[in-house]
Amino acid sequence: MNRARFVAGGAAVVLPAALAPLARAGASDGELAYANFAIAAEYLMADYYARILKAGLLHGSARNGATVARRNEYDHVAALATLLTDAGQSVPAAEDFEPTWPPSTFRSLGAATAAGTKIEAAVLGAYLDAATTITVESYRALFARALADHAQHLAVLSWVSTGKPVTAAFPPALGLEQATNQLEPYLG
Amino acid sequence: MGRRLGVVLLLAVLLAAPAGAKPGATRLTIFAAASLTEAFQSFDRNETYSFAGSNTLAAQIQQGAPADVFASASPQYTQDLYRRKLVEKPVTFASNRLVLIVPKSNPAGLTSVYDLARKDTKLVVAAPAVPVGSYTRTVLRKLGLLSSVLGKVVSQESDVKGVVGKVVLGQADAGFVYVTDVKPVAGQVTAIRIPAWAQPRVRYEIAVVAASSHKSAARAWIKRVLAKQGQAALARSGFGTP
Repeated sequence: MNRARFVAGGAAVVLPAALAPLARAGASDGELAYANFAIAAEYLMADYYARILKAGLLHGSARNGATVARRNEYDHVAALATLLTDAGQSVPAAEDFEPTWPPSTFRSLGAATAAGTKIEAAVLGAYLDAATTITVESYRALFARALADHAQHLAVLSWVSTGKPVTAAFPPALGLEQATNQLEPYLG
Repeated sequence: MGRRLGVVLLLAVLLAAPAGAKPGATRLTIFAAASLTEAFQSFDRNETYSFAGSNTLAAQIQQGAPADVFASASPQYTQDLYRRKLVEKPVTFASNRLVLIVPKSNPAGLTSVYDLARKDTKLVVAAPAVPVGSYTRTVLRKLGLLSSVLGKVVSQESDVKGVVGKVVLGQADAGFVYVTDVKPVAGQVTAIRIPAWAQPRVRYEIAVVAASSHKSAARAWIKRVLAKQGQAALARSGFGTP
């Protein structure tokens, strides 16, 4: 078993157990709304990374970064699905969403990274909002950990497009409505 | 003599044949979800339709109402009837999405589904037992707005056309309907999108009613709905693929 498979397998086992207190704690509908948004956002980003990889726009370390990022998104989906299942909500599947990408999105590196940066920034903003407003500890922790991953993804995209992996301090938090507005053109 | 008798028998068979041999000649009774009204009527005007909430139609079929085909806006009702052996195996034939509609004059000034929680609003929804009523509650729950918005409901309708009617007449500031309900009243209402991530999984199922006396014609009709012509009619009304 290589390291990537070990990590992915470990995450699948550890995350649900870490989230077990959620059902007892009883997240509110308002808090669960973040999970419903997040699952759609994670599927969208998984589709994004699949497409940018398929388009052959990334090479070397950037390509490896996108490959890992794509795997991260599916790990996030698995953890978020556990939250919803524990709360008695149905879990959407990837086929429930039909990402819509402008035709030119994956024809050039600039267009592709611009779209990816915009979406990753919106997801990061929403997760920041979740991590600072959700009251259930295990739930809040999940969003904090996922946003750390998305910050890395954003750094890769920023590095590829501008050569600068580190951007301005204190990215803004986005309410669900604002983040949704950012993602709507792509979520269909 | 024998030859003449044979001819007479052949004529008798030919005269008796149309009802059985030409399924199209049979006038079927179709029980269909209210949201299918325009789509089914544009697809085939030659049948007898009964449009209502899927829960109402399912209850009527249970009570022995004479129907040949049942088309439901939710698998819940077709699957329940199938378990009771009251319909043949259902098939999925369309999908749909929800929107929020407001009157053209938009007296409450709504521009986003989130405004329902922020503004003083008179909202109309379908009753929870009606598929669109259940889907509406799913949308509000996913958005995290269920508790803050349900208190603003002024009327619960027995089917989606009741919701549309209340909004068109200005008796409510907003209502949740299917996207396919907007086109027939496009000049009177404005549709507000619901985020893709808050959409419920809306699947329509269709089945032959077990007590139908026109089963072969009913099966043929369902086959037409599933074929290119039927799917095109549904697509023109805004339905999605199964």
